Amino acid sequence: MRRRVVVTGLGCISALGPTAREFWSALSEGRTGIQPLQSLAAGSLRFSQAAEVRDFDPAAHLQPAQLELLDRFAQFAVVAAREAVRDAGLDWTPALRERTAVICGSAVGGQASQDAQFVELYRRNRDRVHPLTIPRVMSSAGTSHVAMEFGLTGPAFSVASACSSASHAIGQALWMVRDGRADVALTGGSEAPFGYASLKAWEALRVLSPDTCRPFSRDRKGMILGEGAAMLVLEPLEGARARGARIYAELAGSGLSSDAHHITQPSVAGPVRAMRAALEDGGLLPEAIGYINAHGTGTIANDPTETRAIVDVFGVHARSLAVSSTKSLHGHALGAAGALESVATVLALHHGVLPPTANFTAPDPECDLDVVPNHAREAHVDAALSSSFAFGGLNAVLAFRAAPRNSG
Amino acid sequence: MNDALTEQVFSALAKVKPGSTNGISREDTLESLKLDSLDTLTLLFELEDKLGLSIPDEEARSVRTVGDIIESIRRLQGTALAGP
Repeated sequence: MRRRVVVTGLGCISALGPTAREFWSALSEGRTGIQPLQSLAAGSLRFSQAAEVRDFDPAAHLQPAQLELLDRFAQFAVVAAREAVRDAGLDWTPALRERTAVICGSAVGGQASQDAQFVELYRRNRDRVHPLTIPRVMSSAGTSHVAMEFGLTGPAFSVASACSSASHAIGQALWMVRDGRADVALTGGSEAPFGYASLKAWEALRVLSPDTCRPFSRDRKGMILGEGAAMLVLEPLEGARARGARIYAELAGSGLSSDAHHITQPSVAGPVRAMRAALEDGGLLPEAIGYINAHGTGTIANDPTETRAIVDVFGVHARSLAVSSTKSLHGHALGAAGALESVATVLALHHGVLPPTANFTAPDPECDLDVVPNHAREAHVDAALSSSFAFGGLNAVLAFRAAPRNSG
Repeated sequence: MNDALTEQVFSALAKVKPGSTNGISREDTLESLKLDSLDTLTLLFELEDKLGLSIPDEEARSVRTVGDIIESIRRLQGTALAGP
């Protein structure tokens, strides 16, 4: 059995706002969510900008009992999942609940909760931590809470592959629905990495920008951390048509590879193989791709390497396709990044508008692609890729196709 | 005869990359000593710790040779001395 799989629901909470609608408004207007870091004393860090979810009141979304139990990353997962389910207009039956998979990515789980509790031990010299520390911290908590929220009893697990976590999760969900192992999948990623120790660890790695994120620009200085969650509802094309669902796009293929090269340095060969595998899995020719939502971290090393990989895969067509990095708008949300960027890619196909690479100043000859600088562009493309190339060389690329005709 | 700072940099190098300081000179590039980006980060971290200073990211990014690191630290120490 090989079923075509489509996206029928979207949910998203990010620095660009608490819903997918606001996410898309900001992307299509090129309005960035990168602002001065507010959650901590910025003076104690070498960087001061971040893409945080602002004005998030957990009590407005969760029952009092849940507030204690869910770390911020899991709260984001539940909020985004609710929006996606509502958006898809799913009508849960006991049978459908049993046939629905939940697969979410998170690179680091509840690190802020861990931080807060370990401060009690190490600084305040208490000899105990809160009994909910383990259930808050475990990186699969987001998946568990999403499953419990809707009573979904099909296959459920989390994926951790650093900055590719969500893309690996979504690719796995595609294959399960395609192969008939699930009839619906709720899939994406969530992350909330703004704990002090975690920020210090990022600072020590010297990859964060002191000003903003300028992917593919000559004067780029690094990445900007982000947070949030995004969820997609996947289901078979036939089923979606039968129930009259709105179809945003088809998730046509997923391509995975490992660099087996270095724990932080990017490579050309691994991403090339992942992009080719995604095209092949989706039955797409390279010439069909009109847009790539790039990994595009804005670090010195990533962007030229990714450019070479794109040129390698697409040849002369690399000069005619558009490539943008929306990390310049929503920041790098680590294990949620691939989910935010999948939503961006799906909505780009749906609306016929390509989101820009924001904060772009001057071209870098080593990144000589059409990066849709600073302003969104109207363009109806047939198919698009969303790429994630994680630390440690774990690559996941998703291939989306514009919604099939007669899809309502 | 090397000065104290140069010896400190060599000794940090030997710790991060054992064997790298045999016949080393200030003109050697970090690349030729087989230091990758993470080795370089670790080397600078060790030196910051030992010397009690903080090397800015821009400075860290621009070092190519052993001598660049020594000069960068000397400048930072000079700034610290000249400070208020």
